[in-house]
Amino acid sequence: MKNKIAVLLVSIFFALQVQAQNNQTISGDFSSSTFTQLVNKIESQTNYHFYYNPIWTDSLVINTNFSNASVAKILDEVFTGTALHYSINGNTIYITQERQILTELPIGFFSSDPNSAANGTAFDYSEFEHKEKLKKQAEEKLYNIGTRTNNLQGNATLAGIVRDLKSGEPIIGASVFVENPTVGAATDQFGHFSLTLPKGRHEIKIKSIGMKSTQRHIMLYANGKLDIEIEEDITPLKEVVVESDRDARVTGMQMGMEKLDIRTMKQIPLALGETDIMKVVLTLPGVQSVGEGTVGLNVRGGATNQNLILYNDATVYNPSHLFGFFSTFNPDVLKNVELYKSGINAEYGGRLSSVLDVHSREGNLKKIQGSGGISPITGRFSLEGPIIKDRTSFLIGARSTYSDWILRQLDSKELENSTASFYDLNASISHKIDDNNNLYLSAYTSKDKFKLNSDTVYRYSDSNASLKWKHTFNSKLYGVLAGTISQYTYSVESDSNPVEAASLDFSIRQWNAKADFNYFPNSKHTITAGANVVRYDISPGNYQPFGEQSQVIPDKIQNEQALESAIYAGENFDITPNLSVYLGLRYSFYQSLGARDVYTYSDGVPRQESTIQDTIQYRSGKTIANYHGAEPRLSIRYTLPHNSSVKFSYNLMRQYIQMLSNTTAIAPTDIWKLSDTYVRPQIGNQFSVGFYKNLRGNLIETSVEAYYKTMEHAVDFKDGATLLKNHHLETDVLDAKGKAYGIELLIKKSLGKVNGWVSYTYSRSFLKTKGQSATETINGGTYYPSSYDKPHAFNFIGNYKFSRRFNFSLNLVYSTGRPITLPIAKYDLGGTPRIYYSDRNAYRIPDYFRTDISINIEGNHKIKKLAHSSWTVAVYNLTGRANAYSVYFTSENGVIKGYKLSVFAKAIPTITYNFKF
Amino acid sequence: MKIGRFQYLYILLCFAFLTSCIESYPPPIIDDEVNFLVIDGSVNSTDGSAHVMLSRAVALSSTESSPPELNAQISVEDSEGNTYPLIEIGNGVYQQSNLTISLSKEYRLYVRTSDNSEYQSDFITIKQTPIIDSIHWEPSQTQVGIDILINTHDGSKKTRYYQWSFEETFEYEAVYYSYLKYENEEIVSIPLEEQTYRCWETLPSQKILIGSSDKLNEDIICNFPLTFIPKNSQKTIIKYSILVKQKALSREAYDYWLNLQKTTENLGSLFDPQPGQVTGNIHNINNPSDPVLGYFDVGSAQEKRIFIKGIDLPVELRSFKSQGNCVMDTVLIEDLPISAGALVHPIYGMGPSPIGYTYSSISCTDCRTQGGKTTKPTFWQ
Repeated sequence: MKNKIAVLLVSIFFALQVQAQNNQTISGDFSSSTFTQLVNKIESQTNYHFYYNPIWTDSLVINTNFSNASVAKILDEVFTGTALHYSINGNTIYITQERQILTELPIGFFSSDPNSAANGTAFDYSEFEHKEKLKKQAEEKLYNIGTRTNNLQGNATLAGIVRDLKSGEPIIGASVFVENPTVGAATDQFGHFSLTLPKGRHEIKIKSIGMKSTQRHIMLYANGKLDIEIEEDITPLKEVVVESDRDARVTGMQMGMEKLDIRTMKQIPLALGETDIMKVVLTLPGVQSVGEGTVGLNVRGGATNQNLILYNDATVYNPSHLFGFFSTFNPDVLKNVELYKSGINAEYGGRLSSVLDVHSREGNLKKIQGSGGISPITGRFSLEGPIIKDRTSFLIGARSTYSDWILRQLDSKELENSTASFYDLNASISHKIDDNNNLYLSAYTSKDKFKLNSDTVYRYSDSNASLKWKHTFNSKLYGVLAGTISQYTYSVESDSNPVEAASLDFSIRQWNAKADFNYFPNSKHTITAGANVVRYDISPGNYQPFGEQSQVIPDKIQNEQALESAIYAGENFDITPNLSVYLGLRYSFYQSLGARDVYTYSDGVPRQESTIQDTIQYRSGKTIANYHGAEPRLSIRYTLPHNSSVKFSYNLMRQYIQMLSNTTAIAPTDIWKLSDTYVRPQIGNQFSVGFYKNLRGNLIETSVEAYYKTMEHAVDFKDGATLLKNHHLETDVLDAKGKAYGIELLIKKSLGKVNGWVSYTYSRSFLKTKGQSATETINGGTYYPSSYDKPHAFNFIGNYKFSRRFNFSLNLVYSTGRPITLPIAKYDLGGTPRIYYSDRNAYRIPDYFRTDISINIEGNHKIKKLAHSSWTVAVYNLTGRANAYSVYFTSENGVIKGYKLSVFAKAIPTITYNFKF
Repeated sequence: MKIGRFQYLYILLCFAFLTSCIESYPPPIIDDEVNFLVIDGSVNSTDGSAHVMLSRAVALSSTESSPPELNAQISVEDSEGNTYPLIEIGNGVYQQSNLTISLSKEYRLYVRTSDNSEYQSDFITIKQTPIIDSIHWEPSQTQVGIDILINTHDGSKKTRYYQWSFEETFEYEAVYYSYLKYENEEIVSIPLEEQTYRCWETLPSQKILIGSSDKLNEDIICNFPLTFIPKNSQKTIIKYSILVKQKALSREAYDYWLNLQKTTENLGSLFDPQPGQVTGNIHNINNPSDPVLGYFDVGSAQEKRIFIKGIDLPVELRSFKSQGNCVMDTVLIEDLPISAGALVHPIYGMGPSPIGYTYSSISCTDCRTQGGKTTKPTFWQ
């Protein structure tokens, strides 16, 4: 301590000495000082006096030490990477933002010499001025589209791509519009837009989430192209809250759709310190899951297998790690996610309930960039950059867990031989061949391995790849040709008993080819059309001996093959400025193919092993069962005054592949089954109607949506059904009817210091299984609540920005407990009490309630530094409420005991470190 | 292969996040009528004895035990139309012995309750039970203690489905040996036949134990775990014996027990199958939708008994007698008798006769307070 004081005294002494000589230099150690402290120090050591606005400088943290530095040098260093400037005029220092105050007139200002005046850079001194000027040039320049003619009769189409000025990435969902006449379009997943306008002069406005609004002046002579680069609306490092396409909810055609930007998702507090898109999607109205730690989504009363999950257009079968505690999507490589609950366009098909369309980002076209993070369970890293500048870019991401290491630290005999590990990898390349042709290649793989208490190893893996070629024929027409392949496999190996050691493998492979075309004939019509074909190959179970001593008989369930094809066309027609209609028709064809043996059963008796009559053998490629049908889609939007609208939609969907699971949550041993002679394709109908109103200049969005759904041939199971290693699944699977209805209310504020959303959903979901016999009938053939019927659900997500560096989030979730089958009676059998269960799903577990909080702390806002970092401190389940995951009863030592199982029974704090360079 | 192993995932997560995950939960209050008839019946094809127990189910929340069903008429019928009535011996038990059981015939059960409801089981084909090859113990791989394992096989490959039940008997001692008592103002020795120091306790198996070899080439059951005895269990301090009964099951019976096991024992993991209603092979003739609980089976049983001495276990798994909360106190002769407790041994002063006695509570000196009996079982070696 004494030494420190001595050093300080000496340094002050020297400082004074220096001051005496020069009067304008300064020394001192500034660590974690504020700007005000620095100013006070300088003012005390020199004659300088500062004039500045403390609000501009309050977020500056100074971490340097100076010795004999001039004030100019100090300020240069402190202001690096900020928007602040200083000007020294005598003993007065002015701090300004964005532009510098000129303390002198330009050289030659008073000179009559014309040369020196011309050389003067006038007032355009700063970088800011320069940028602004370029932007102004782009905004004010008149772009001539087409060859100049005098004939300005009729319409012409302007098409192009909206990109991020900095990274070159296309911007999805930007609105490009002119105000007079009101014609607008949103950019698609390639950033592509197309506007048909009357020829002549227009001012085109471009607005997008988190981007600076801009405009372009065009003179439209004929069809032509205009690519637009827009600038990110950032203050360095600030995680911008989604602005959403703010009036899209009211004026857009789409209803029952939610779009989430990765930046919104990153603010929501989560368990285990990872941004998880599936968990965020669960906070949206109409989306439920059966419990914590499961990834399966139940959208508007649909089963978990009725969601089409796409990652860059390729199907994902199991989006979960660790059996559902994490989703497989690495937040660092994601761009956004769209969830369609109703009003699903004709281009999508194959699942009844919803489409979850996940897009990864395209790599930065201009420079190499990386990011990553460390949380208590996982570490992740991603890298992106140009391969050929402005033409080809790459993006790779990897994530892995170190939970094995954690397990080894735990002192428990039961866990000693357990291991758990997973990883996922993403890679994508986008390449611009020329102005009209683009190629996109994306690949993804996730792997999980789990060994529980030394005897059984579970492995599962989900992979897919897609190749897309986008060709722009002309400004009115473009097409995308895509091929994707998806594969999901799992295996269970057990070797605890060498005689019974065996492995069980499951795999599903899917090849998909499709062509989609978008045609914009004029400002009132948008036409989409296309075709796709999917080939499925499933190996439902391959049971093999494992090890030399094994006595297990190999048992392979026959493979299943099928071909699913569809053609579709849809048209969006703006009948009047207020009334728009979308009409689509999809026609799907399905063939279940050989080689396969199919059992036939006696008529009029329950299908079971003992009633098998005969076996029909189908040769390879031969059609076993054939289904086809139309899938009409209709959406209507009518705009009302005062920023409001009403919408109606109707969908019919057909689903030819179903997941068989008689567990309530998605389990790693669930199998997928193709429709065949006995398991018929599921058919879903949905009517929905909504009212939308934006308040306070689109700042607050409100909506009410109601829906009614019916389902035919939904899958249900006999009590105690066996689904694994079953050669005749039709004896355990039942054909059910379903119905679901509900109403969803949403209030959302996307901007401002306080933002977030509140939603309330009332919904019901029922199944009815009435077979020919008692064993094929559930609950006497009446409608009973499905396992995911949760009538009341309330979600609140709120963010409060204290400053640009501190952000506080609060998340509240409430829902009615899910239905379960409870024991109602007990009886004695052979001296042991046993229990008898109620009708299926006749009771409910206790209601669910959870509170989460999180605080994001950003590092300082210097633009130029090695890496930008942030910390997230979060507490999941703050109140520590032990929410029931399930309630079960079991007979223990002659007594029936009831237990409630909860997944996160205590508050779980996590801390995550993220970085970006 | 055990697919139901997810509770370990669950335990693992509990440990990983230090959360308490499982709490007890009170049973729901049910208003519905739940007094379903329970028929637990079997015919032993070896000795021709039939035993049926009739009772009624009660609500789960009820504190009463299942009431017996009285005054029913029960008979066993064979596939040739012969009927063999059973005799009610009270408390819901109906019996008959010395039935002539032919392995070539099929048998079913008929029940008419006092309210004139009629019940009938499916026909049962008799399966022969193979003998038990061996029963042995091994240190457990997963817990601290020993597993009792069974091996059996059927060379003709006909059995495939097995069920086991067992009775375990063990010898144990009270903490202190009280050989004196205060009687008629005198201290007398307790006769050997009245001693309460050494006890034997017999417990039945509680769990459903079934196994199948239908996925194997050979009809072999290898090292099927019957029960687990943790280290320091009272069972293995001195000597332990287990009598295992083996029964061949039909496929239907196996499925029934498997379903019952799935829905009442193996629950509590994250990926539980939905529990459902398990009914057996007996139906209400008049009202098919009325559930009938329990199962009727005809077959034979094979038995085998083994003994395990405490000192035969490896040192690290051996159990030792513990003092528990037991302490000894002293009482002077003039303060006798003591209000509660038993005398253990005399304390001598300067002279030749004792001046007092040590004593301890009954629970420390009478092994019967822990459930056993002082009579040595006849089979005890």
